[in-house]
Amino acid sequence: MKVFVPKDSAAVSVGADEVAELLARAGAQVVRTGSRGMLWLEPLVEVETDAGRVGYGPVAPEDVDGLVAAGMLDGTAPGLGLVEDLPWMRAQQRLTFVRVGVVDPADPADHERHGGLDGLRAALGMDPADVVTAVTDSGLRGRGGAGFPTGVKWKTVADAESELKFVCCNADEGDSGTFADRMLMEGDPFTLLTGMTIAAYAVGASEGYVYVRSEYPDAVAALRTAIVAARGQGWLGESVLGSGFAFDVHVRVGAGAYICGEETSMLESLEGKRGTVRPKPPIPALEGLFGHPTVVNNVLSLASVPTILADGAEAYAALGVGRSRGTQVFQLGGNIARGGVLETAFGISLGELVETFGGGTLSGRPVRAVQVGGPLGAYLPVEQFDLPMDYEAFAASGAMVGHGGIVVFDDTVDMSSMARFAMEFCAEESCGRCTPCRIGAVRGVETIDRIRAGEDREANLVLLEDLCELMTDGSLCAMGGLTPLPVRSAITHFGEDFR
Amino acid sequence: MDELGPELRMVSDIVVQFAHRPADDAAAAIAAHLTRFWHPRMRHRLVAAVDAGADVDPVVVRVARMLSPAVPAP
Amino acid sequence: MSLLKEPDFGTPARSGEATVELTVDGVAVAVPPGTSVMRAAAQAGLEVPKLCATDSLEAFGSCRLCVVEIDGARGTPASCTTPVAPGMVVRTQTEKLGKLRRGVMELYISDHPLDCLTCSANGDCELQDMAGVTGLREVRYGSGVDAGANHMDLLSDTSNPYFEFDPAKCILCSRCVRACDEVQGTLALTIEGRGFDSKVSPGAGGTFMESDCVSCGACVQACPTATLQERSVVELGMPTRSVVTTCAYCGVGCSFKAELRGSGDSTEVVRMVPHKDGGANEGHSCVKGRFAFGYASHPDRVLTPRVRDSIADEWREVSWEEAITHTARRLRAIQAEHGAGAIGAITSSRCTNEEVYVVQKMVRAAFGNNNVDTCARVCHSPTGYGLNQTFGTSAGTQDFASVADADVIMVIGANPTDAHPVFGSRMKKRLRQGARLIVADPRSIDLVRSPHIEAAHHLALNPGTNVAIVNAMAHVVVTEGLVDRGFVDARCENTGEWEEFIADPAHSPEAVEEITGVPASDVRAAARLYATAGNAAIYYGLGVTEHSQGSTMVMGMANLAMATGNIGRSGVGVNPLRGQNNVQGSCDMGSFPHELPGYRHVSDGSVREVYEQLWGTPLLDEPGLRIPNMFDSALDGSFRALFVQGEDIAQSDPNTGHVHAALAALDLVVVQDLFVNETAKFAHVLLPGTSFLEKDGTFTNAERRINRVRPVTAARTGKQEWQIVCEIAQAMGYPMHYDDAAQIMDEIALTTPTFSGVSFAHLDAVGSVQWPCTPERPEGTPIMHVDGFVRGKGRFMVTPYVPTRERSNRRFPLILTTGRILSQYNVGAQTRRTANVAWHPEDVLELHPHDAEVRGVADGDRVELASRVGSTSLRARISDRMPVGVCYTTFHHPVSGANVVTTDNSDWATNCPEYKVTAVQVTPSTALTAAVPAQEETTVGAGRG
Repeated sequence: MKVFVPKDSAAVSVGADEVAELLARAGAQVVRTGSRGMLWLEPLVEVETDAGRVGYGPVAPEDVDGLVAAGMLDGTAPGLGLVEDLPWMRAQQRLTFVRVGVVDPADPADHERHGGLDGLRAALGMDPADVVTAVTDSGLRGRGGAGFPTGVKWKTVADAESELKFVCCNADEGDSGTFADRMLMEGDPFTLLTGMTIAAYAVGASEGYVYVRSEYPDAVAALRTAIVAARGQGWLGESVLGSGFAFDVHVRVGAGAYICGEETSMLESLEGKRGTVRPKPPIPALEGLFGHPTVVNNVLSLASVPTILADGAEAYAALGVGRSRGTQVFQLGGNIARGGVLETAFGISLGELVETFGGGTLSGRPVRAVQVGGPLGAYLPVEQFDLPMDYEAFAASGAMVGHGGIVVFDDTVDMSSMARFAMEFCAEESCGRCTPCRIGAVRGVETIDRIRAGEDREANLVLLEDLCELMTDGSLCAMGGLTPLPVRSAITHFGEDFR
Repeated sequence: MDELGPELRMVSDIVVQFAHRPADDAAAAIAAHLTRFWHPRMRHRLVAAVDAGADVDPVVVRVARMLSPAVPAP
Repeated sequence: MSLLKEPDFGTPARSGEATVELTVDGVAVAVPPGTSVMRAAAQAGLEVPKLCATDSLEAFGSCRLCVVEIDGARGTPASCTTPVAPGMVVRTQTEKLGKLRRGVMELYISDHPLDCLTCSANGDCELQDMAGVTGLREVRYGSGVDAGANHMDLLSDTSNPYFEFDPAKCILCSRCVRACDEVQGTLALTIEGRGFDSKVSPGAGGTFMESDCVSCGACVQACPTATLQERSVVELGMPTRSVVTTCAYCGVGCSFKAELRGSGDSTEVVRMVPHKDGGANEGHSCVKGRFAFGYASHPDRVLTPRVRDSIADEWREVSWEEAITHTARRLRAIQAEHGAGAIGAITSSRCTNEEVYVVQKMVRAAFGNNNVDTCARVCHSPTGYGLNQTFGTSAGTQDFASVADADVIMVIGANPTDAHPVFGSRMKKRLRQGARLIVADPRSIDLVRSPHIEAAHHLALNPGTNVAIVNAMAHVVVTEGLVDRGFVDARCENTGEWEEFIADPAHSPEAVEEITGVPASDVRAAARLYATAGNAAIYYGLGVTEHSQGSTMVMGMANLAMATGNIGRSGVGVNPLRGQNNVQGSCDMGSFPHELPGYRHVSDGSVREVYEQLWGTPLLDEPGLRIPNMFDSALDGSFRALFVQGEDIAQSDPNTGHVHAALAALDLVVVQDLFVNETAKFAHVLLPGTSFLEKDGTFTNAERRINRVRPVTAARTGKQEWQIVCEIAQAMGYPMHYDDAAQIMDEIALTTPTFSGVSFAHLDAVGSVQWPCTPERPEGTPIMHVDGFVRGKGRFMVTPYVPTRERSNRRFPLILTTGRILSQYNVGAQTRRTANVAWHPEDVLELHPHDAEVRGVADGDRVELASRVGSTSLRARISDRMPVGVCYTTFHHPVSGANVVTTDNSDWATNCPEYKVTAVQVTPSTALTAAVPAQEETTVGAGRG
């Protein structure tokens, strides 16, 4: 009897390894997969039946004997029913994450069986320029947070004259409340490698690097295993799938600095230097890694590419709203009843995500604020729950979609302390190169402290606003430039917490 | 100190530099070099040493022959 | 004259035509592509506020003061990191920008001590300037400790003797770190920590003196605040006026602004600041030129003439008149007794062209002989001979800037990062940009492997085998068909004979592998790289010339350059790195016994006639004595009196025992020097000299650049050195008078074709020129042999390899080679009288660990170093820079007496001594023994040890 137990580190942290071992002892053929993203159900055990995979979860190690006795191994014990039919799953449009939680991430045959190579095969049959065009036409934008059109970036690299070009995957997923990159790398690393290979083919690069944060040892291991397997399969190497196109990927592990998630800092770090921001221009697409034209894309951007090539740009572009096309992978966290990862087309409202998918707060108290887009994202009040997930709509509201992280707070939150936290985070993570961020963040914390202490409140609020303006307009990179977003939104929407 | 003065040591250093050339050529080139760069008293002493039967390379003897009519008194 | 402030355009100039047109605040300006908006604005006369930008460094974009608004561009980009674009419309002054800039300054000042009035940078602080420019009127965060977190409690680093580092005043602009990286190339500084905790740190958290810092001063120069400040400024205060002059240390010839206080006798040099307009250094400096000028006011300076009858007597201070009359009388008396040819002089490469010119004129016209030689005899005389024979001119082919166009750099027997540090930095910059490097040196010098630089080939040859190596490289070029046939056929002669010679299998890398100790495959690979990788440039030093085959080697390198067509354009050439500030000039000025100024042989009647007409006296047509000949003649009694201008032959010349015996044998030794040097101990007359801060004249550097030396103070001795020489000649009965040094240069220009366009007025107008400089080419000649060689066709010379007679054997199994280090200079007369001794308090003997082990020598042990001619005692340093069988020392300190062991061997053509190869033995010693020559008693006055 084949059962599937996630090996995703979120599942492992709640006992998935023990559960897998107990099931194996009970005679089951255990396949370790990624996570489906329903973290409240982990460890989620799935049993293969003729009707599909039947789910049981959360399964604690002490539950295993009883479940097996009740017929779990042939899917007859009472459980969650078919996983695909769970409302959380049915309401999604899983394209990038289609194989995550389904396949064995270490098994290339499993990947290929589930259509994982369709995109690469399609791309290799096309002219590289047409691959770029397809990505442009799909409307794919950078999923790291900036939302820059991926195809435009690729075209710049493709058009640059150089004997050496690189594809660098930014997997320094440092935003609080985000974990989609990790789950993809742990659950379906071949898709990332395939996406990088397509990018390399499209722009004429020969070497790829995945820059993974050191806090993700399981993702690093999964990637390294997959790279070795992919080389063995001829998916990477001198002649990718026998096409004559040569490409290889290497994994580099970061050293624990948030700023290395900023693309130029990441390049500095990849070059073995201290991770500080480089001024742009020159843009990395023209002078990137070691001065050569470089595609720098987030994990999710690159992992979205295979599906675009497999099913066509039009199919992808058919999803979404406005200039935000295709799907986004959202991560629900914080004080939320059902936390996890889900993928759906742009346009879904913030309220639907928090209430319908997330089920409101875990504490059961009313939601007061939601931070979208990581620690540098804006805080939004419940009054804005009808805001559609769309780059432009969020920007218009002084917020950002970012990397799709959504963190929920209930009505006990003190928003002045959250504003202070934003400045503190910036002070902690600033690389120190530019003045507004290096000194400004520290002064921001101190000024908010004075406001909270009731010291010269009005004057200090004016000073804080001036500082926010300076950091927004004067900082060298998005770190200092975006920190005012949570600060200003907290003041705007929750001004009473500052009086 | 060299028994016969430094001139014989210096000229022997020069002679080996011209060993690749036929003896007459070499002697002419060396004589020209000495005329150009050596104080007349040194050339005079070289000629005197050769005349006194110093044990020298045959090329040095030729050099001394070429120099002797031209060397002015010190 | 006031304090000279050079304009700062914020970012470096870009080459190319000014084709990009834009408007800045309504002013139209055109600049080359790649220029920053900031620089374009500066060229339009509009200064954008800035702190982290300075035009010696690439843009960094950290201070955010230089933000501007650009039509059609989002936000407020930094003008330093934004390149211009055609049609760009830039605004540098708007209300929004003003508010942002004030906001930035408000942040800076919130973490800065408000002690401006008592700060050492008061009046010379860019942070202060920017607070003014941006109109900062209040700091709402509070300042320093009042604001909250701050850096006021960081401690100063006072480890460096010349500058202090006060991190409490640091604004984290990284200019110091970038200057160390980009300009100096040492990469000693870093930013430690992140965010608000970021801190400039020398190396891994130690002090400046514990770090790799070479004290070049680039960081001090780059610092916009008082964070890195000269101690002299801290102690004395801000200078009030500047005089632009030329450094008197090595042959790079850096231009400096001497920044001064007071006037007349009260003039005080506050600091020496490298001059951005200096052609040789372009604003960079080293620890010697930048800081080690204190010797000029050292109490050891001799300021009053001294006379004595015998060197056993005490000195007697006398008036100038008495000293000059006495000297002239003694010289004439000796001539009367022993003949006109019994006296002579040695000129100094430390002195100005004008000072050297008058000495050789005194010898030729007043002494009536050609017994004049120069200390270049013992360093670069083979360069003069070798390059003259092949190219037709006794000088390097390029300007320093040329190295920026080189694709392959071959460094032979030179150690630029120590001996020519400012040029070394230029070279390293090019190497970091990707030029390939070949090093031919027995030692693993710093260049072989340093941050971001690694030699493609290090040919670690056995000392004394240069010619075998260069012949083997040429053999590869000729036999592998790598000759630039077009160049050779059109521009060279004697090609057939040379190619036949060099193609002989006896010269193949395989055949000479045993001799050189360098694997044949390395030599082949290096030759191919040199011949085929684009522009290839050779830089060489005394490791080429100071050999018994020095002249042959110079010709060998010239052959290689000609065969591969690497002559006559930027990025190529054969370039001697001259040891002293005016080696080139002293040679140019007719200091050699066989040549009148401009390298014209004394036998050339037409040239003699020019001088005979002007000088009003007949001139001898036969060569005079060279320095070693003078010593030999002193010992045989035919040479009786010597005038020594600013050179310490008793310490610097080889086989000290022999030199001392010769000096002691002379009836009259006249020494003109700043100090009572080793030679002065043999002197009968001591004429106090002037330091470079007192001189008025010119120095000519290794790239033939004639730089002005301007007097910063009056001569502390009361007389310029050229005046003394003229007065001696006058007192000898030969009329010789100039109103000023400019008149001397006028005479040089009048009589020497290659200098015909040179005058002080012209140099003052244009800064500097590289000779040949004629009225037709007033801007001079940066690169020589462009259209043809000076001698017409380049001449290939046959260069047989003849091994030195100096061989190691059982008694003397090691080979000693000598050189110098960064912080000290030659015999150390100057640098030993400065705080530079902090880096190099004594000469040490570097030994390979194996050679030390078998002798039972541990690091720091005293050892006895003995050769066939003498022995001395030094402290040993175990060093894996050394190859097995070779040891190394410097000769900066008289007590160590390195030249006590060096021999009489010399270059066959020029008698340049073979300092670089001496067979020695090293044995452990416990006693602190003094240097002892093995032969020839050192007579009274030696006073060593």
